[in-house]
Amino acid sequence: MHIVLKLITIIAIVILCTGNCWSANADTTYQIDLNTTPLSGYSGFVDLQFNPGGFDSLDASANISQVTTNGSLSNSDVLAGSASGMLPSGAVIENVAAYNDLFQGFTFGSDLDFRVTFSGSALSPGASITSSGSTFAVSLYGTDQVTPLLSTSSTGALALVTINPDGSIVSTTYPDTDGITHASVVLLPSTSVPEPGNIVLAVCLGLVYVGTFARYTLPTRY
Amino acid sequence: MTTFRRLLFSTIALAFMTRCAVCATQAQTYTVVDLNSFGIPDSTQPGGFRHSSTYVYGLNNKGQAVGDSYLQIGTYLYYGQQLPEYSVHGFRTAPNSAINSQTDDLGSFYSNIYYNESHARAINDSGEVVGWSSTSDYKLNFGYSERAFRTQPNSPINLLTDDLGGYSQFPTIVFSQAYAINGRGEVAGTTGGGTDPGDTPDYDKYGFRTTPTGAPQFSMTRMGRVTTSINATGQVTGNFSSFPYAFLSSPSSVQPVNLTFIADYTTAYGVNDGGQVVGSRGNLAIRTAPNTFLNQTTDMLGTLGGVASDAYAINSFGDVVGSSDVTGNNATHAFVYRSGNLFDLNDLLPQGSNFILEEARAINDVGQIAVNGHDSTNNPHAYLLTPTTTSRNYLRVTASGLVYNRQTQTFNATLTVTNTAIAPIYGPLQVELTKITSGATLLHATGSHNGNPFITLNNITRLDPGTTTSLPVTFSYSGYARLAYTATAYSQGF
Repeated sequence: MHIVLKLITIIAIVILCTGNCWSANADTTYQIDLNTTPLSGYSGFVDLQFNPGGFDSLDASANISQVTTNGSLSNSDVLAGSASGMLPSGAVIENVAAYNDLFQGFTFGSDLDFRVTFSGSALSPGASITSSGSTFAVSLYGTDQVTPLLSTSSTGALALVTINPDGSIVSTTYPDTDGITHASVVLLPSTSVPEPGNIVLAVCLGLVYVGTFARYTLPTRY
Repeated sequence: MTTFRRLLFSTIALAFMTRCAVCATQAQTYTVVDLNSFGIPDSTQPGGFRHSSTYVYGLNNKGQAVGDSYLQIGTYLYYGQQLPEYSVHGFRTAPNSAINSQTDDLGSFYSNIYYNESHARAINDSGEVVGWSSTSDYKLNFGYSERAFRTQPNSPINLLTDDLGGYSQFPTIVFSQAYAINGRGEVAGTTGGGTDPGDTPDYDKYGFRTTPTGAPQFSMTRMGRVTTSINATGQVTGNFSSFPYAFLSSPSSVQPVNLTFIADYTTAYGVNDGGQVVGSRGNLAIRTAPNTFLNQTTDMLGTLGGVASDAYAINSFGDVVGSSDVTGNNATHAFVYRSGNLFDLNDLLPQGSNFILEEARAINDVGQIAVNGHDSTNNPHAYLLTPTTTSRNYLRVTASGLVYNRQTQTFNATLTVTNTAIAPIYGPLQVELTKITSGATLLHATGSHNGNPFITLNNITRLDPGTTTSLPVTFSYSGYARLAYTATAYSQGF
């Protein structure tokens, strides 16, 4: 094999082996369903938080969509930090400040369901060395705005979804005082798409390789 | 070789060497306490005494070691000269300390010049020590005998309370020796006797297990020839008299006793709380799976390059210690077997150590190892090895995001500590938080170190390679900026 072709082969292998440059910055979506039957007919609040960890969390955002409920959401909410939007039309919370929160009045029905899609560099940290992740928390509060409902968690949350420093995601649900868990968190199938920059890189690499292969392996015609 | 191949091989070799370097730097190392000895008066030596021979056999989870050390017990008249009389006494050290001749001498049942000998073999976490001491057979009022003892916690041998008695088919002279004790005070050992003082003693004819505590009345359970070790449930392991099999008994809660045959041509020396047995089959050290027969493919621990090895003890985590011939079979070295690897303990000592570790006899659940060896003058010494605390480089701490609780008005997160080394890291672990954002306060801190709050995880006694443990942290904070901090984990103190 010609030395130029060998070098290009090695470069291609190195690029492919170093990995993350090729992987897509895939968004990840969870379906979160809350069973609020024990609270049906009562008033309270729904609280959604998405906060960074202690020191060096990478950027991420949580996009809340497809909100459905047979309860009644109020027409105003209280936003803190980097949060915008309103339920049920949708909201976006970014892990910018210490406390990024959507707090909205709610006359409970038997359910509250929505999707949350996570995106950002926190999901594909690559070679970044980070030590803290970010956590999305779902809580319900009573009319006094401070009493957690349907959860015995120390955070007051019914469900937590944490993006770990390595980009992996774990979810946790917590039971109420009777041991009944009222939240379910289900990962939806991924629909990852390669980033445009990576597609261009791959096409260019392929063209260079094919061209070089032809230059150094096809018989020369005189 | 072509340029391409050279490049390829160089890359592979570099990667391999880098990997090996990482392995070497991550091997568990130890600090060493020389247990020294009771000492013997010697006017020719600086200080007027010299260290006597010492051998260690047992170790509890507090770092107290037991064994034997030689001492002078008096003088005797020989052709008009008073000559020193020597003997051996059992010792029990203070935690993580060398022998103190003023406080650690267990004494013996009698203190006259004829019956003044004792041997200590095991210690439990309460400080009860078992072994045996010389005695005069009380039935005939003459004749030398040895009788098993179990001391009171952190007390010397007491003839009135500690004699475990013994059993013989012809009980004119009764011998007994105790080799092991568990946390409940149940003792395992061996006993036998003879018909008159001139008989060859068959003191290892019957293995026994005593009842747990209370008055030292002897409760005999005959179960083979020698019982060598006992675990928390009362399972004992030992060896038969009539054929070369090792056995493992049922727990003391099961009556009558059932025996599981471990393997033929096997000697069993130790058993852990999970029912794993260690010893040797033929010439090679073994460690079985819990409560089952020896698997001659997977349970053989190998050697340090020589032809023979013995495994003497095992802790609750399955770590094994013993001795092995080294390459060339011209020396025996102490080893620890952990995570599938056999390590020569002499390779894990501080630089400049001028002694040789030959035989590791005990390992506790915090990773400390009791070892026999010899010093630079070839004098037998015993040593206590403690894992070094330089493990923070291998404890990685990560944090979840913070969650605000409106009721408690606190921010809450979970810290995860991961052991990234290839060796276990021993607890307790301490997690120190530094560079906390101004205005934020860590709640429920255990204490303060260099002005920084820390939390102690007392429930973590050991973190195996690749495993994690988690702890919640709670802050009070009312600022808008990111609540930032840095977390560092330490093992066994800062």
